[in-house]
Amino acid sequence: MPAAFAALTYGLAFLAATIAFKKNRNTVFWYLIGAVGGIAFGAVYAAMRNLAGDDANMAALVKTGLTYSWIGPILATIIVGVLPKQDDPNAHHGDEHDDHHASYLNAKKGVNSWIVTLDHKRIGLMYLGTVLVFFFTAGMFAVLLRTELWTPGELYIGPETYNRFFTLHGAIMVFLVIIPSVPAALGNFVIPLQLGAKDVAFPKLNLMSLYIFWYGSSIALTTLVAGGVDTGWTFYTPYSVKSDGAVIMMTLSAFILGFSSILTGLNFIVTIHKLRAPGMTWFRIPLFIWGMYATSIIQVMATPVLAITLLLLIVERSVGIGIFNPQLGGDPVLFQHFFWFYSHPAVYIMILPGMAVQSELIAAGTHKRVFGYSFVAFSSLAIAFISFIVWGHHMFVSGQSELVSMIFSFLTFLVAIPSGVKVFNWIATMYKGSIAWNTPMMWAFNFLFLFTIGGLTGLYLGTLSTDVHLHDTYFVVAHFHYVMMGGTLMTFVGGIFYWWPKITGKMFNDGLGVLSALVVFVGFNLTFFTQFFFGSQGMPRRYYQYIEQFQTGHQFSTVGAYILLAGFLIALYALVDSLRRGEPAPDNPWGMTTMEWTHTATPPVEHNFLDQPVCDRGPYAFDHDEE
Amino acid sequence: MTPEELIAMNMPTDSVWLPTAASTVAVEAVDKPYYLIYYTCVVTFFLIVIPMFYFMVKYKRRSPDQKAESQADHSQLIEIIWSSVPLIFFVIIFVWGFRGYMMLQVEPPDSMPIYVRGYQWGWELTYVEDADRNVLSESAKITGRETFVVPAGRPVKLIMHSSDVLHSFFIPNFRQKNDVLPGRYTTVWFEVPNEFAATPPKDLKYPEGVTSEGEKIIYETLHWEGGEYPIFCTEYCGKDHSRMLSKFKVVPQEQYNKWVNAASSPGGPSIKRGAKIYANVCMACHSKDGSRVVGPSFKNLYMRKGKTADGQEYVADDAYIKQSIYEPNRMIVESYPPAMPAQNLNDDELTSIIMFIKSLSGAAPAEGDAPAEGDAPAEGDAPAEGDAPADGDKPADEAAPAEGDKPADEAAPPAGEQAAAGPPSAEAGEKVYKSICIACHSIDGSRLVGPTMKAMYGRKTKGTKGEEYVLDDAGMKNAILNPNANIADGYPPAMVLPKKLSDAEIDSVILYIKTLK
Repeated sequence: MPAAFAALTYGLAFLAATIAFKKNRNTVFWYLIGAVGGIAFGAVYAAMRNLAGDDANMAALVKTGLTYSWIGPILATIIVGVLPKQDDPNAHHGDEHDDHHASYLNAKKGVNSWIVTLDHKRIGLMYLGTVLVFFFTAGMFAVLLRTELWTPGELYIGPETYNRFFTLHGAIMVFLVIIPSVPAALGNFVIPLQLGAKDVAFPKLNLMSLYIFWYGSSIALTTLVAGGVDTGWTFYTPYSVKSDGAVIMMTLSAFILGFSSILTGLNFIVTIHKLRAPGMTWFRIPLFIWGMYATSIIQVMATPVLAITLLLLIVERSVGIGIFNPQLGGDPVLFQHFFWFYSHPAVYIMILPGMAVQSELIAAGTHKRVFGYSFVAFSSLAIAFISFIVWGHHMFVSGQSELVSMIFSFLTFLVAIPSGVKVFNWIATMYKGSIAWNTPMMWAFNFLFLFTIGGLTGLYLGTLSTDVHLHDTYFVVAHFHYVMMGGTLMTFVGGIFYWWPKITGKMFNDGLGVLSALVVFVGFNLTFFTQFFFGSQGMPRRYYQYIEQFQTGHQFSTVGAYILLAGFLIALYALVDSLRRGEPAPDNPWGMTTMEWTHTATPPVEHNFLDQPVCDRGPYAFDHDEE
Repeated sequence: MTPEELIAMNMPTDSVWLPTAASTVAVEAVDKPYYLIYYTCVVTFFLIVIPMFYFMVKYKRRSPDQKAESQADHSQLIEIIWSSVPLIFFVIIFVWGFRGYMMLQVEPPDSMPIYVRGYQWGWELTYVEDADRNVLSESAKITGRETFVVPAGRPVKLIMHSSDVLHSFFIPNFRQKNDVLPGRYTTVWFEVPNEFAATPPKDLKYPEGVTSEGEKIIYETLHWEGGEYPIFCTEYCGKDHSRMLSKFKVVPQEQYNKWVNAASSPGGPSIKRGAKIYANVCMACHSKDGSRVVGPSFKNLYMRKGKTADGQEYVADDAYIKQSIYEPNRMIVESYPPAMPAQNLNDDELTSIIMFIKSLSGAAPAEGDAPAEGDAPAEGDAPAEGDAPADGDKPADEAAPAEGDKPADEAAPPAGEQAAAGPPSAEAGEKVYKSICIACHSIDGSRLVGPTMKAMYGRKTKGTKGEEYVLDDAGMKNAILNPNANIADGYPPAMVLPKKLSDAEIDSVILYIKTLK
């Protein structure tokens, strides 16, 4: 139950901080309220547990209660401490007329101007920072895992640590990196700019989803020190019910993060519907917006199912209602149905934004209209729709009926078509283009190459009989890394480079950027292509120890992981370096045609546009300026 | 097998992609679709990547203001072509995959059943038939991360369930896999052609201690050459998921028949057997050198006094160890986590492991305990005798009430059918007993799920409702036809018959029971 303590004390701490701030009272007073409340709750809760006849002894419960109760107040101290005494966020909008022409980065100063900002660009940037921190955290776990797999037996960590590492790697990468990466970070920054809007439809809601994201991710971080989780990111029952470790805390974190995801999606849908610039019809919005629109629909519709599932799991673990427990008449496979009903659409929450960015990168990199605009746009919606009815393909060998498996297999093939159509259209766009060999385009090439492999190897897994052999082997691991990492992450990094001049006003070193893309390309293929080989041979996933004949493959893979790490560090260096030494960026360094490049300053002013822009052409009208 | 032996395990393979296909349907069901997809992928991949690289070079922007040569941005025809051509391929692949899947799912009707129980972290295979379809007089049960012997040339059907969390039974060489679930049976079947079976060993020397005929057959079978195919657990199941490796040893039918008969004869408890159980089961969490792993070390554990997490005092005697194995979370040693799964050991195995633990204690058992010879087979030790029902009760208490039923459900009908022919006789009754009743009723006086059949005939019995009844011919017939009308006091109302017995069969069984004085 430490999770309940953590959740409540965190909540109280945030509350204390907010009240302290709003009321402009003595912050210490409110902090004390939060602290005492947290501790009191911990103690009362422990006492109740003991009265309820729980086996665990009183001392241990009080001890845990106090441990977690303190985390909240400490957090409150930090937040209250960094907040300046008085600041009403709403006051900014009216008064500072003279700052109208300053960039959004300089319009206001101080920590407070960031923490309570309603500016979508600053919120996007804070998301970006958070996501990058988690990306390197989870990446570190990946490298630690690959290091252990250098030898078939033990190298430097035991099986329990290994199991915790791969769980954290998966859970953090999925819930804290890939899902929020493009939508929350880049989407927040770019969508209003591309639409010609001042901000998203609900700026306060936007800030709230950032807070929820921080709240959820801080609980996830606490999991790291509270014993970790060893269930795998899928939390399959009944193991997740029986396993010790902070399972509830981790699921609670994912549960809370889900709300952030839902609110962001909702915000985007409304923004795209209502805030398009005059003249910007549905077929004049950039393809990035189409992709984000499809993503948002899935986020809003699928995430509640995950919330319910995780809540059931929490109740199952703490009270033992038995919905997934066969001993109490439940069904463990039901959990898998619930879980994948969200998590398969979630795969498209992860890849659709990648495809969305890819369309922009390709257009900017070829100076050419994206081939088959309407097919690319509608394929996003088709994917969003079909993604809801293919979840059973994760469960071909779970004991579900043959008929059900057959239907899911067939539907799975259908979802492959729109993805294929997109790839073909991007290639066709390159035909007779003017192809820039610069950093964003190199990352876009990485995407095309790797995502093609990821997509094609999906055929093996969608086919029933071959999936029986390949299910839960490294073949699957390689496949989804090619899609998630080779797909989404490549475009995420590509997108960061692409919009970096707009975000920071600085140009990065293009040579370093291209180098990072190449190193990542080599490292990636070395890491994951080898896994297709020993995966086909039958090497199961989530194995701490393996049979000797797979060692060579694993060693190639481990070397690749280090090269991959080097590649990402080079990219990080290129970005950080640009902040210090980068040339000031021009307004439109890539010669692109969408509104964030043509109608805004670099970096944009606080309200994006000085005047309301009007849209009179399609998004990729490269031939227009010739007239 | 130790971790080192697990690592050294070899999987036959003859290609970079797929391991050797050692079952009858592997090539047709999996390998052919696999390579169809493989070539489709390779061709498609190059169709995408070659133009990509070609365009990259051909249309490279050589000066900053170089314009694109064309702004052509759509073609209905091309879109339709590249949407529909893949669809045609997909339908072909889908149909072929489905066909293969049904081959993997539907086992031939005469498959030999083997019961598989998955647990953290090992497999237990219970053999009930030999390859010539004779029901075994005593089932062979092999537990742990062991080598499991199966016959070549006969389809084998694994009927699987789990007693704790999800597992998945995967044999790469047979291209077969299915999750193993608690509370539900799933199946996997395979048939290994004779050419993939092991071959007789050349000049085999038996090590010391292998003396009896049965031990020799077992040793010899395990040392036949080749025919070994690893079994992986592919559903993450906790700490030792990756060590949940076993292997099949595929031998010709005759050798299998010899082996299964030898393996099913009881070996009796021994320290050696205890050491083996330790290596397979306990070692993951209990050291034998005094170091702390997950649970307490076995070194000097025997007769140790201590406190449990909730403050009770205990002495680690036979009864305590036994209880700790069957109900691990009842008395947790202070400062250790309640992490141990219940172990399903039979009495022989239990005695073996206790003997083994005892052998790790340097000092002689102290104060008040019976001298060493007294407690070795745990006889005269009241708790051990009295606890015997625990073994039999367990299937009923735990996840799988079906466990008691399963031999009856699955294995019995053919045997029952054979027994139905001819006039009633004690011999025919014995056959029925061995195919059906044996699952729950002993003939040696020991308690299983139901009362023993030893001296059952004519017994006056008290029912759960306080009624008294006599098991004469009429009483027995009634007990078979309406099993739950009268339940013997102290037993669960758990009796189920897999099929309706004919009058002749019922008479035969009663005749047979009469012989069990």
